[in-house]
Order: sequence, then C-alpha cells, then structure tokens
Amino acid sequence: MAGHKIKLQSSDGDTFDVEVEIAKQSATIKTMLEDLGMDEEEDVIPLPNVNSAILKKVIQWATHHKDDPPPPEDDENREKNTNDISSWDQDFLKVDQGTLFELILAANYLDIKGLLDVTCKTVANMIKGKTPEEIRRTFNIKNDFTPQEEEQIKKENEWCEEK
Amino acid sequence: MKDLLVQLEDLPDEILMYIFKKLSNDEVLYSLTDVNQRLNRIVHDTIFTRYLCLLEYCADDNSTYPLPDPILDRLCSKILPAIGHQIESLFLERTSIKRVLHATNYPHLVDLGLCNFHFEDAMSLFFDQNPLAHIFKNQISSLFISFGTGNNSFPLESIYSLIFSLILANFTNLRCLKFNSSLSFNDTTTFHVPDETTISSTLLELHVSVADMTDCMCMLDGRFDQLRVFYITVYSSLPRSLNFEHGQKLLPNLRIFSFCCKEKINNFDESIVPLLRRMLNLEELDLNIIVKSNEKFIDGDTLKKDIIIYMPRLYKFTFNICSTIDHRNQTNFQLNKHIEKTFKYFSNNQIITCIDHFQEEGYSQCHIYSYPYKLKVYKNITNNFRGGLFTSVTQVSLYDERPFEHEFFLQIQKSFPFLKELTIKNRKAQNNKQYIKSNNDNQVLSIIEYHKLTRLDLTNTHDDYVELFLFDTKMSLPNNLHLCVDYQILERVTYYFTRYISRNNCEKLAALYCYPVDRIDERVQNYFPLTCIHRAVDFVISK
Repeated sequence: MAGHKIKLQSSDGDTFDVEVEIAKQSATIKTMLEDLGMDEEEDVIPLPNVNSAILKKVIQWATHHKDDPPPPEDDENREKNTNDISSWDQDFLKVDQGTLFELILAANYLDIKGLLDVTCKTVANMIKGKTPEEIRRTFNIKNDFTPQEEEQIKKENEWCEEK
Repeated sequence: MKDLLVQLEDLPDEILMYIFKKLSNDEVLYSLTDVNQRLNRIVHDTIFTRYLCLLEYCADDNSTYPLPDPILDRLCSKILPAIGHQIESLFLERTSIKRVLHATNYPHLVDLGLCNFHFEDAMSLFFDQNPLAHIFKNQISSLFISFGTGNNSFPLESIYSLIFSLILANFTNLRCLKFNSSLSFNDTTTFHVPDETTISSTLLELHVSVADMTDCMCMLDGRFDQLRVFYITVYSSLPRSLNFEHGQKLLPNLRIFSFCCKEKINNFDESIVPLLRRMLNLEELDLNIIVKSNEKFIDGDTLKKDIIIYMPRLYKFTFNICSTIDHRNQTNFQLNKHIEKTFKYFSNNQIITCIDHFQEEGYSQCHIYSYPYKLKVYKNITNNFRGGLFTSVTQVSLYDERPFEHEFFLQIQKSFPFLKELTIKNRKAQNNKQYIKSNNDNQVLSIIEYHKLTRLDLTNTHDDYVELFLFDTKMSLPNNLHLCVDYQILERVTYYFTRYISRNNCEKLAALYCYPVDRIDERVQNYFPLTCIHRAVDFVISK
C-alpha cells in the first residue's frame, strides 16, 4: 500500500520511519518483510551492521532513487563504464573515504545493487590511472613487502623508469 | 568522534573484487600490482589476467588508440612477464603488437585481437621468418582483426584480400575468425574474397564484411567446409559475376547464419531464397535486409513457404525485413492487419509489422521485425510507428509525407533512450505549430529531451523542424551537438542571423555543416561564435 511505513533500527539504536516501497530497494529488507510477514507499523527491523549516520544516508539515497527502473542485468561492458554516475549521485558521494567505504559495506549488507554499483564505481574512479605509490598514498595502504622483495620490485621497475 | 575510520583495506576480498571489476583489467594491473601483498594476490586472480585489452577505445567514432607510454612500459617490463602464463586472450593496438607479444611467453594464449591493423603490419607479422609465427600457427584458435587506414598505395580491397589469405595460411589452427566484421570497431570497409586457393578446413566460425553478393557466394562455395557459424555483411546487393560455380553446393554443416545487406535487394527470390535453401540443418537464422518486391510484400506466409519449411531444425529465426512495392495504378492497398495475420503461427518471438503507403513518392513499404530489436540502426520511421523500447538503437531516421508533430518527437524520445544520431526527412509543415505557439507559450507540453544526441541531420526537411530543434523551448538538446542543415533554411529560421532569444539551442552546437559553405560569412560566424563551421559533405552519420 502506498505510503505504508516500517521502522528500521540502526546498530546504535536509532529508529527511522521509512516507506515500505523505499525500504524494499534493499533485497535484504524485502526478504525479511516477506519471510517474516512483518507488515505492522509497530514492527521494527533491526539492522545491526549499519550505524545511524550511514543508515540515514542510505535512506536518503533510496528515497531519491525510489522511482528508478530496476537495475539492468549484469553486463560486462556496462559494468566497466564508470563515467555514467549521475550528477545527483556524484554530489551525494562527496564524502570522506570512511563514509564511502561504510556506504559500500551497508549497500552490500542490505543488498541494494544500485547503491553498491555507484559507490564501487566512485572508488574505481579514485583508483583509475594512479601508480601503485599513488594508490598507497590515496588509500593509506602500508607497503608490506620485505626489503628483499621491495628491492626486487624496484629493480624490475628500473627499466621502465629509465625510459 | 570517529577514530576508527573504515579504509579500503578493511573491505572484504569479495567487495574489493567487485570494485576492481568496474575497471578494465589493464587498469587494475597497472595501478594495483605491487601495492601490497594482499592486493597482489587479488589482482593476480585469473579474472583480471585471463583477458587483457591493451588499447583505448573511443565509442564515439569506433576508433582505437594505443595506451599511454608509461602504462605500456610498466605492463611490458613488469606485469606481463609475471602473468604471461595466465593470459588466454589479448587485444592489441597496432603500435604495440610486437612489443607486447615479445614481452614474455604466452603459453596459453589462444584468442588474439589486432585492432587498427595496417597492411604493413600484416607484411611484417604474417611471414614465416617472424619469431611470433609459431604462436600464430600453433596456438591461436580465435582471431579478431579490424583495420585502420594506414599509408599505402594499393586499393584497400586488394589489401584486405591479401591479408585474409595470409591469415588463413599462417593461422593453421584457427577455429574462429572475425575479419573486419560488421560488429567490429571499424565497419565501413569491405573486401573481395580471394580466389579458391584460400581455404580452411579448421574454421568453424566466421564473421566478415564483404563487397557484394559474389563474395558471399564464394565464402559458401566449399572452401570453408567445416563452417558452423557464419555472420556476413554484404555492402552491395548486386553480384560482380552471375557464374557461381559451386552455387548449388549444399551446406549441411552450417548451424547459425546471419545475413545483413546494406543495399536494397531486387532479386530476393533468385538470390537469397536459393542460398538459404542450401542450409539444410540450420538452427538459427538472422536476416537483416531491404527488398524490392513486385507484387507482394514479404510477410509471414512468404517466410514460411520460401524458407522455413526447408529448415526442419530451425528453432530461432530473427529478422528485420523491409519490403517495398512501387505503385502501379493501385486502388487497393494492403492493410497492416493482413500482414499481422500472416505471423499468427510464429510462436517463438514477438513480431512487429508496419505498413506505410507513400502516395507522393508512389510506393508502399512493409517493415517486419522480431522484437526485441537488437540492431543499432532503425531507419525510415513514420507517423505509423507503433512505439516500444529500443535500447540497442543509437541511430534513427524519420521520414514521412505527413508532418511530424510534438507528440511524435516525444514518442521517439521514449522509444530510443540511447539515440545518438538522428536524421529527419520531412517536407511538410507542422500542423500544430501555430496552435502551440498561441497556447500560452505551450506550457502544457512536455519537454522533448534527446540527452545523448551527438549528430543531427536536418537537410532536405521543412523549416519547421529546424526551428523546432534550434528555437523551441520545449526541445532540450545536449551540448556539443553536430548539426547538418541547408544554408537557406538556416537563413530563414534565424531571420537572416538576427534572431536572438534568450533560450535557444544554437549555443549548444559544437559544429555546423552547411551547403553551400561559400555563403558562410561574418554574420553567420558572429551568430554561431563558438561553433566550428564545415562543409555539408564532411558530415558523417556512421553506417
């Protein structure tokens, strides 16, 4: 029924009233509603893997995209196109890296394909064209090669750096 | 507050893989190899190493470019030597073919793509003394080849014939060959099939574009006697020669046949029907043709009677057939419902039929096609267009002897969401234009939006359509549009280049193609200050 709402509870205890049709963009919530027959407005769906700040963002995204057509079947060429992020999504994802990765984890847990795709494309765009050293700096990744391995890598790269 | 921010490294392997799969494999390998041990393990998964396309592809003009030097250097010196044994498929741009193939050993390479290939490349690659010859001879079972223009003084067709022969002589293990096929990067060139000494008994699948029907017949004269799958695009419907020595040879091995002809076929009954009847065991057939008929349109009855009953194993038949009949004092014109009825027993897919009668031009046209439509071009759409969704189509032409109104353009927007190239041929003024103008700035009408349009051809069409696209506030166009238009019409709709209104689409034009171009003077340049102006002959709608 249009406008019918459910309550979603974040890991830190906050609850959010959300229209069922918006919440159902999450395949996880959709399955819960169907399997458990939860249709009373008083029922609360606990989401222990998503904190309040991220859940709020997820609901904001799902509300904006509530009338989107169902995402197309996986198509390798479409998947590899990272330039098709809408301007609304680009603005929505102007967040710090921590929030972006938490959104990815939430989208994965809630099984929201559209959100998972657009967040992963955003990270892919941050990777594109960077050298390994730039990747380490961008994502704060530690170089865990042993000195010997590191030496070997340097040696192998010398040829290409000399060019 | 947040002292424990989630980082990239905190994501599980499956999500990292999902992210990396959004990139092409060369991008993954270039940026993530040797970052740390975990990422090294992930990016060396065969998902990222089995298939490598080491080139840049521009979808706008179907062209390919080499990778930037620093990327290619790192790939050749460091990455390929480490993963060469995992690579099964390589797509290369001409300038890097030798370098990449010499970078390491590829013991499992079976699928090779050579893009933007030139004649000189073939000469240096496909001769025995080349150290790579053993890879071609013994390993490669699937070859894709598309051509660039190159510097040569030979006629292109002879060059393609020679390269085709060289390929079959060198790649003795070849099972699948895609030779400048219509679905390749460059689909505008053709070639004539070399003489009968060019044979292959290993080839099972062939995709090719040829010059004319003689070449199509040659391909099926027994030289590829094991062929199971054959996709062919023919550019001219007329044969060079009427003597097909092996014209009657049966083709019992052929299972899948796709035939596309770019030109109108005048002798369907004598050329296409006998050819198809030789394919006794065909299981899948795809026909994309325009046919000039004498008395009767090609309909479901024709297809059944002439083709289908001769193919007992046929389980998939897709087609896009447009047949035309010239009017000869006709008074009775066939109705669409009659054509529809003939497809009553076609159960395997949905068939769309559409009939148009053009009284002024003196001919009728019957368009039948299987739906969903899978081609990228949809030609000659009229006001009788029945709607539907055509996500594969990027190129559309509109033609009618009745005017196109606002609703029609809206329907085109809805049916073709990925429309990039649009041609309009209509000499009739719009009926509703004045009504719309007087109706309070047409506030009730929806905006027509062609978001992805890059090329618009408005030559030989009524002023109203040029005005609609340039000045109507209910028409929304993207930036960087290329427009081709008659100079005189442009002069009229712009009030001799003095018409300035606040919201118009003129400023969105990246290029304007006019005829005659010698009329372009300072006034025009000032009117389109940010637009490059070219001759109309330079305007190209991709084929």
